[in-house]
Formats: sequence, C-alpha cells, structure tokens
Amino acid sequence: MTTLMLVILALWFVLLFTGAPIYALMALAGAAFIAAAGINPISVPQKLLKAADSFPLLAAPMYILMGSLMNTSGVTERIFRFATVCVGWWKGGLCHANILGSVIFAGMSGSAVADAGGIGTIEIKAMQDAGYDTETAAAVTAASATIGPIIPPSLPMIIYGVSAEASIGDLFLGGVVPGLLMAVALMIMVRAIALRRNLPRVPFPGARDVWLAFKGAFWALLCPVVLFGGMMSGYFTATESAAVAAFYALVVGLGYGEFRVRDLPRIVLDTVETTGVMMALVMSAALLAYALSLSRLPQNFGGWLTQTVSSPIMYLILVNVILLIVGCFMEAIAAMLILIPILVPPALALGIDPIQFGVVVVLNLMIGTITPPVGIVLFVTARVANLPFAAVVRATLPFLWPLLAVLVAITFVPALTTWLPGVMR
Amino acid sequence: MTALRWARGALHATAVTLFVLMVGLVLAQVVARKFFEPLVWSEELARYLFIWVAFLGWVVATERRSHIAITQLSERASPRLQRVLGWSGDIGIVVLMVWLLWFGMKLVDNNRDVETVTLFFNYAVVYAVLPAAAVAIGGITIARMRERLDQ
Repeated sequence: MTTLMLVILALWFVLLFTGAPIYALMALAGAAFIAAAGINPISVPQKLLKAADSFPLLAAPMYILMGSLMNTSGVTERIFRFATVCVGWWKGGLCHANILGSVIFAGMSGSAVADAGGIGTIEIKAMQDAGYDTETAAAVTAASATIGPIIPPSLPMIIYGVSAEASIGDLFLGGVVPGLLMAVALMIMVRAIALRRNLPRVPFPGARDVWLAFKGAFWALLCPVVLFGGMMSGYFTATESAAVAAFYALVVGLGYGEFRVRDLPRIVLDTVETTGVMMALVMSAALLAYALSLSRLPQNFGGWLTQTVSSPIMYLILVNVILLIVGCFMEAIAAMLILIPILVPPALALGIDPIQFGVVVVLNLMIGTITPPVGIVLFVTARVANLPFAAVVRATLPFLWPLLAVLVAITFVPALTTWLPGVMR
Repeated sequence: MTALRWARGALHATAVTLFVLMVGLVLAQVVARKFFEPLVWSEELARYLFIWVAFLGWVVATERRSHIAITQLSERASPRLQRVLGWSGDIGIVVLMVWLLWFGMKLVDNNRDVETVTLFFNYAVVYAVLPAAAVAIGGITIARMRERLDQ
C-alpha cells in the first residue's frame, strides 16, 4: 500500500505543473488511491464533507470577510497614512511605513494574500508616487505581507490548530512575538538598503498631523482590541470573536462612510468565493491525508524519523529544511494539511512544545508564499504592481534573509513562541 | 442563456444568504448567551451552514476561475500542448464530480434516517449539497470544454 501511495504521489507531483487546479489533483490522488486499494468509494464525498464540519474552522470565512470589509471601507488607507506619519520620516521611510502598515493590518486580517492584495495595492502606489522603484515597493510589500498570518488573527493557524488539535488561542498568542520580530528584522534590512541606495524620506509631519492621522485611524486601530479583548476575557470563543470583529469592521466601515449597504452583497459573495478557494483545498487535502493514513506512509515515515533523529533540535532543523523545500512547490494550506499528520506526532514524542512547533510550521510555510516557483503572495504582488513574476522574485529574494533569521530564532529559542501564551493562560 | 443567468443568480443569492445567516447566527449566539438564555442549536446549525457555504463557494470559485493552480510552467508550453493539458484537467474535474454526484446521492439516501442533534431536519439535508455542487461544478466545466471546442 505504501508503494502504491508513493507512485500516486510521484504522479501527482508531476501533474501539479500542468496548470490544473491544485484541489482537483489532490482530490483525484486521494480518490485514485481509494479506488486502487479497494476501499469503499463512498468515503470520498464523506471525507470531503466531514473536513468542513468544524466550528473552529468557521472563524476562517469571518476573518476573510473582516479583511475584505477593511479593504473596501477605506480603513487600509487610514492605516497606511497613520504608519506614514509614524515612520515615514526615517530614511527609506515609505518602506518602513509599508512594514508598519502590514503589522497593523495583520491585527485585523489573517492572510498574507489579503495583505498583499489589499493594503499592498495602496502601499505600492504610494511608494511609486514618492519616487521608489516599483520592484522595491513590490518586494517590501510581499515580504511584509507574510507577517499577516503570524500576528493574529491567522487563517493558517486556525487550520493548523484544527488539524493538529492544538489550542487556536495559544497559537494566536504564540505568533505575536515572532510577528513583531519579523517586522524589526525587515526594518533593519530596509535601513541597510536605504543607507546604501540613499532612499528618500518624508519630512517629519509635526505632532498635529500625527494626532490627526491617529484620530483618523482610531476606530480601525481598535479592531484588534475588540477581537482579542473578547477572546482573552473569555467572553467569546475564537469563532465568535471573529463574527463580532467582522460585525465591528462593518460598523466602522459604514461609519467612515466609504461604502454603502448596497455594496455588501458583492463583498459577501467575494468572501464566499475566497472561502470556496480555501475550502476546496482544505477538503481535498483532508481526503488525501486520509488516503495517506490508510497507506501507512506517515506511520512508516514517522517511525523511521524517530529512530533516526533523537534530539528535538535536530528534528526541528530537519522539519524546517523539509518545509522550506515543500514551501517552494506547494500552496501553504495544502502543504500543512498533508504534512501535519506526518510531522506532528514525532514532534510531540520528542517533547517539542506544540505551540512552538505550530508557529515554526506556519512561519516557515509563510516564507514559502514568497519563494518561487509557487509563491502565492508573489503572484498577487506581481499582479498588483503590474510587474513580471520574475522581476518580483528577484527583488524579493534579499528580504528572505531577515525572515529566515526569525525562523532560526524561533526554532532555537522556544520562549519566543511559548512565553506569551504561558503568561496569558 | 436566460436559464443559465437565472441559475447563476440563484446560486449567488443562496450563497450570500446562507453566509449572512451563518454570521448572524454566531452573533446571535453571543448576544443570547450574554443577555438571554443560551441557544442550544445555533452552533450546530452554523456548522451545517458553513458546509453549504464551503461547497457553494467552491462552485463560485469554479465559475470565476479563481481556484489556485500552478500555471507558470504550462503557460510556456506550445499552444497544442496547452490545449491537451487544459482538456485533461477538465476531464479530471468532470470524473471527480461524477464520483461526487453518484456517491453523494448515496450518502444523501443513507442519511435520510439520521437525525441531527438539535435541529428539526435530518442529515440528508446537509449531505444534499454534495450532489448539488457536483452538478454545478461538472456543468460549468463541461460548458468550458465546449467553449474550447468552438475556438
């Protein structure tokens, strides 16, 4: 059975590059195994549907809704304006503002794609207008978009939590420190580039303008407070807080008067579409993961792994290497769903903290969203910036280093991910 | 053509309505717990609505061609090879959808007597989205294959 699965997986990997939807290839690979192994074919639709039957997972579409509400209601412009008055007067100021804007937006959106396609559009345009070359603007946007799913809320962490049975609240908190570290690391990189290339700065706007920008963004800045206040105080569950925050975003958006109730059906339909894209992957990956577990491939691999690797640190390094390679070729959510059943049990057996492991996996795969050939954030950024894919890839490569440095840090120092959840518990 | 437009409108309206119901239900659950009696059935119903939303979203994403695919390599292939690849991908999707339709209907049938925990309908209602979505996705894909034939 293991051999059959390996053959199917090899075939699947080749077919990935034919341009067919990834979900269809995963579902067909799972179905092919089920057919060839003589398992009841009714399990195909059953496993697909069961993968969607989860209350925690329901938080995902609500975060998607919140992100699109924020993006269409002019909230993102206000956030970027606020970020610009805060750090725009540093050398290479708009690059810093881009990163700070992503950090703030990360507190109300859970996906790197939403960041690149939403606030990223505004950031790139503002940077072009200020005389930055489009490549640099696109690269900083793509690199800082990866902070989105590390600072809570986070779609990948919800999916990780659901499929690895880890606490989503703890994963969210575990991402806060690494997310801020990513921002600092990227800013150090930007500073070095700004000094070398003598990038422009905006004059300091004065305290009055800072205050005005803060006031303009105030209700938007309060969104993460609503989100986490409710969740941490135990008032609502993660899913409920997502619904409350989406509702809050709606009220703020209507309050700012930049969209009308008439626009809502379109925004909701777009959210349904994005949910469909995500869930087609989630459900198909669950089917493939089921077929994998039947083939005993994960069990055999896990057994071999625990025999070969005996120290937690060695295991984490190995996992990082595997994920960095996988992240180049696979979409993050699909990769996570297929690899979690394989990688998590040995990690727990070695005594690695499940929260640290979760954040390491998610951060690693978010770096995968900006590595070619399959880098979903690179695709989106290239489209938004109207640049060829290869140009964005080339410009983004140097920014991988600061992100990799943070990955190394959280791999070797568990406290960076486990301290905050421990304090808040 | 009008029938198609009607079907698309109905799909969009259903998807949006179910999504809004789902979010509204989770909000109502919070309000009810804080100020009134906790709702015992809201979480289960929200879960089933989400299953429907997920599959309907799958259909909408198919209609709008927004499912994630790796196209960098195939876009560089010769037009002839691209046609072959496009056809094979579509055939794969249709095969999958026929599978989902056939066995999805069986699942609906098997669950006619399985009651939900707190709600008035049985589990067949939840499973009914499978054949419905399979017909829609299969139909859109077949229509796309016919378009390709005309080109």
